[in-house]
Amino acid sequence: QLALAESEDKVKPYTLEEFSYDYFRSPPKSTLSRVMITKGRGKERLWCCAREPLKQPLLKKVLAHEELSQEAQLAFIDIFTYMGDYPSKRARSVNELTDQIFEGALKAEPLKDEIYCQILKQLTENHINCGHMGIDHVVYSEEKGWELLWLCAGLFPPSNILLPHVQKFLQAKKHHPLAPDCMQRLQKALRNGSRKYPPHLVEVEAIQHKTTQIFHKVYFPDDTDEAFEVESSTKAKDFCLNISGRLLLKSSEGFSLFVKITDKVISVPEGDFFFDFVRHLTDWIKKARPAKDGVVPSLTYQVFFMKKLWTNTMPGKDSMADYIFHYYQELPKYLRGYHQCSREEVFQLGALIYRVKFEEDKSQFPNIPKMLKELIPHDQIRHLSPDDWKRSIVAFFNKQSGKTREEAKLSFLKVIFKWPTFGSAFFEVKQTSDPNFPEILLIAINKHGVSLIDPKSKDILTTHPFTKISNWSSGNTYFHITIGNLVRGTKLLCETSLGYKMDDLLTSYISQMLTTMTKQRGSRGNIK
Amino acid sequence: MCHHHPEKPREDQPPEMLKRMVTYNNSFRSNNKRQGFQKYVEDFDPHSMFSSEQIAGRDVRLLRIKKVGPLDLAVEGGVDSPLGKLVVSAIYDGGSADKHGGIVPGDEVMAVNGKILTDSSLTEGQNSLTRAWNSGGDWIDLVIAVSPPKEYEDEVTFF
Repeated sequence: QLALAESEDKVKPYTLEEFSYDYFRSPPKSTLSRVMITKGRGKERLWCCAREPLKQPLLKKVLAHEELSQEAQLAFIDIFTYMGDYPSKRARSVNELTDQIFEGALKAEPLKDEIYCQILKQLTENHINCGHMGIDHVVYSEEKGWELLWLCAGLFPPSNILLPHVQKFLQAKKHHPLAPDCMQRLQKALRNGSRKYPPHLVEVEAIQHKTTQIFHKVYFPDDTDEAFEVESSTKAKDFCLNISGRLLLKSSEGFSLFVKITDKVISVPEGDFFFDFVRHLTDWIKKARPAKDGVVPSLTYQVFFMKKLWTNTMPGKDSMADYIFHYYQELPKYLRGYHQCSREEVFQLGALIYRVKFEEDKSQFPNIPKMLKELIPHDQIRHLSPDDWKRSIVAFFNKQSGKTREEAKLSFLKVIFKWPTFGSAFFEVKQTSDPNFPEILLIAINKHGVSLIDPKSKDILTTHPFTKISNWSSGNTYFHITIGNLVRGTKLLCETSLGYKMDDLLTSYISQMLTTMTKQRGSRGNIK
Repeated sequence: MCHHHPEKPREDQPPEMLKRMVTYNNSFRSNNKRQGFQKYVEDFDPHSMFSSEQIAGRDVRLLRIKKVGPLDLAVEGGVDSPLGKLVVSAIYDGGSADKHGGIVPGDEVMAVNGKILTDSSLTEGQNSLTRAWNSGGDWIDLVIAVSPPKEYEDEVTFF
C-alpha cells in the first residue's frame, strides 16, 4: 500500500494550483481570448514554471500594493537569474542575488508568501516548461531552485494559509535529498520566528556545496577551539547552551558569544539569531570601510565563548568553568596589575601560576627570572630583584607540593575571589569631568557596579552601584554616565574608544539585575 | 591568554599617534614641499580666531583639505551632548580626510571655512561641514584641536 502511495506521488506531484484559485491574482485579461490558441501549453498556468519574468506579482495581496508589486517582480528576476534561466554576464558575489531575493520579504510580511510561491512555481513542471533549454540545464535550474527553497525555509515560515500547501509540496517531493531538510527547517522557522537579515555568506556557500550542515569554530580562553554545528535558526542563547553542554559546564549563566571582527570584539545578544548578528556586523563594517578600488576589505571574523557577567561566579562551584574560563580570563587582568594586592599574595599567586604551567616539574625554576612577566603583575616586577622573586616563588611553590594543575587554578581563583575587583572588566580612560580624581582612571565594571580606581595606587576611589546609575551613553570617542538624579547627580565623562563595550556591559548587568528583581517579586507573589 | 588581544608590542605609540606621525613626516618629503603642500598650514595663528580660554592650552591647527571625492569624515558630540564639543568619530579609508592625513578620531573640530563650530549642535556641525564640502572652491579649511597621544591602554579589554 505504501509503495502504491509513493508511486502515486511520483505520478502527480503536488502543485499550487488549488491554492492559486483563491490567492493568486487572475491571469492577464488577454488570456481569455488566447485560451484557444495556447490551451495545453500551460502558458497561463500561473503556478507552473515560467520562462519569462513576471509582469505582475503572483499573490492578490501583493498586487494591491504598488511598491510591493515592484519588489516582487524584481525578486522574480533575481530568482530567475539565480536558477540560471535569465542571462547575466556580470560576475556577482556569492550572496548578492540571494540578498536581493530575500531582502524585500524580510521587511514586508506579504512578500514572504510571494517568495515561497515564486520558488515553488519555478520548481513546478520545470522540466516541461523549460524543456527547450536542454536536459543539463533543467537539472541545473531545478537544483538551484531547491537551494533557494532551502535558504527560504531557514529564514521565515509561510503564512498559516500557505503553510499546508508548502508542506504538501515537500511531502510529495520527499525523495529529493533536500526535501526532508526543508521540512525540518520550516518547523524550526515556525518555532523560532523570522530572521531579520538575508542568508549569511556561509549559509549560501554551504548549500551551493551540497552541505546542509554548517560547523563553526569557537575559541576559548584556554587557547583551545572546537567546531559546533550552527543552523540558520540558531539563536545565540541556543548556541551558548550547546557549547556549555559540550564543555560540561553546570550553567551557561553569565556566558556569552563574542564576535571579533577587525579591531572590535562585540558580544552577541542572547535573543539574536547567530547568522543575523554576524551579517549585521559585517554589513556595518563594510559600510564603515567602503571597498577601496573595488577591493572589499577582509571581513573575516572569529567567534569566542567567554564569561561576560560575573554576578554569581564562585570558584569551586563549577570546576570546568573554573578550569577553562575563570582562571584564563582572570589571569591577564591580574598580570596587567589591575588589582590591589599584598606582596604575600603576589608570591603565592606567582607560585600557583608556575604550577599551572609546569605542575610538579622543578626544572624550570632557573628560568623564573626570565618569565616574571607571566608570573608577577607588570607594575610590581621592578619592586624586587629577579632572584629575590625567584627565591620567594620557589619557597611558596614548595608549600603547595602535591597540588595538580587544576587544583592550582582553583587556589589561584580562591585568592583573588576575596578582592572587590574580582570578575571585573577594566577600562583605562581619561576623565575630564571631575578635578578631584586623577585624569587617567582605571574603571572596573563588575557585579558591584562601576568603580573608579586610581591607576597608580589601585585604591578604589568610589563605587557607583547599578541602582544609582540613572543614565549612560557612548560614542566612538567617549563614555558618559550620570549618577543619581539629574538635578543633584554627578556626571562622569571619559575619553575612550571602548565606550561600546562599557555601554554593553552596563546594559547587560543592569538588565540582569532587573530580571532577577522581577523574578523575586514574582515568586513572592506566588507564595501569597 | 585572551584571544582577542592582538599580540603585538604595546611599548610604542598607539596607532593614532603613528598615523599622525607618518603623515606629518610625509609633508616634509621633497616633492610635496615643492608643490607647496602641507598637512597643517604653518603660518596659522589660532589666537586670530579664538580666545585663549577657547584654546585652553591645546594644540590648535589649520588643515587645508583638497576636495577629491567624498570627505568621509564623521563627527559626534555637539554643544548639547555629554562631550560638549564636536569631535571626529571616524575617518573612513580612502576619503579625502584620510588621504590628506593629519586628522584622527578624537580631534575636536573647531571651525570650517572660517565658521566657528565650538557652540554648534551635532546637526549644525554636520550641516556646516556638508555645506562647506559641497560649495565652491577646491579645498576646505578645517581648524582642529589635536587630541594628545593616548597615555593609556585603549585597545584591549579582558572580559
